[in-house]
Amino acid sequence: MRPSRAFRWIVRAFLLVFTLSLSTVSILGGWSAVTILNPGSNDINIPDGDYVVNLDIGNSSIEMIVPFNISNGGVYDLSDIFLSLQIDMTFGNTSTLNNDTTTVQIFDISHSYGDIAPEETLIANYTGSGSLPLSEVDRFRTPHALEFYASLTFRASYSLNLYTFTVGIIDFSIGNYSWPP
Amino acid sequence: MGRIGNIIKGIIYMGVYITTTMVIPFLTFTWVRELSILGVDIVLTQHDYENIIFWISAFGLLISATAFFNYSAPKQSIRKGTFALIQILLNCLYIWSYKFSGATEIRFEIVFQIANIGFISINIQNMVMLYMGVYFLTIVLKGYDLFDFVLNRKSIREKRYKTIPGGNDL
Repeated sequence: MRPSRAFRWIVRAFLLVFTLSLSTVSILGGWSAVTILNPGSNDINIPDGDYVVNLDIGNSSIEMIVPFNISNGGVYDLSDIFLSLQIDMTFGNTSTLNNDTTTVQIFDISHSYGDIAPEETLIANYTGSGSLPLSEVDRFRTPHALEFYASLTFRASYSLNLYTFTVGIIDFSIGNYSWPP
Repeated sequence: MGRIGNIIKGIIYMGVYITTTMVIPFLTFTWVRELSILGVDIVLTQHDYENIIFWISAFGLLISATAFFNYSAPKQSIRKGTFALIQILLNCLYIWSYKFSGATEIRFEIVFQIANIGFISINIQNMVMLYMGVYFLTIVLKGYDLFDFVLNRKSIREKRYKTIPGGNDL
């Protein structure tokens, strides 16, 4: 065999090992990511149980506590875990001519939770507080003076950061408030 | 391997490339286009789907065609070296097409009782870039092959057409 061919075979063998390793990581990581994201596996529970919304109308403030847990049932670290929650408040705006329905963001807090090793579980509380712009609220609006909607974003990377997945839930109703007559 | 053998080898590899670059991605994206998990529909947008399928088909056809010419060419021939290099460059474009067609950041809409309530997005751009790195090394290897086949053309042909004592003239 010519030396040039021998050199070629060495490079080719290296490439084959490299490609096979990469493909193995891709397949294992992809499968694990699907397993973690599968709702039936209960690996991601946001919220885990009842969440707490402390609406303090007197002090125009809102506090939120969301317990959650995330289990890494895969084979690689679940890394760069990021959780973000926004709350929008919809109300009749008394500063407009017809008390127009207005939506403002009263809460927008993001937290990073680092990495979770395989077979480990992160149990934590997402907490945050915001303020309510109550001075322009039409208190007699029907059916509710205040309506609250939340948007949630969960993001994490997997398979040595080769995959990044994001799950977003947009504008789901979390409650409403009416002043007593 | 004779001429017929080379052509059969070319057809077999063309079939392999049609399967891996077109049929499997097509079936995968068609399967994930509309999933239903626990009664909630997870839908790939129509525009994304059409864009991805178009580029996969376009480059898949080119790769499969060059695979035929590559694998049906005689071993260590300049033709084989040239088509192998073209094929690997097309492979690079194929992988790159996953990025610019939007397949590296697939966004599924979550639809519950007609209303859109959110999304799931999967970003595999880092993985595609890593595969591009592997392909770059393969391009170097194929370029080296072509250079080697041209430089050593005489000895390769002598070896291929060597005379056998007592053999018959064709």
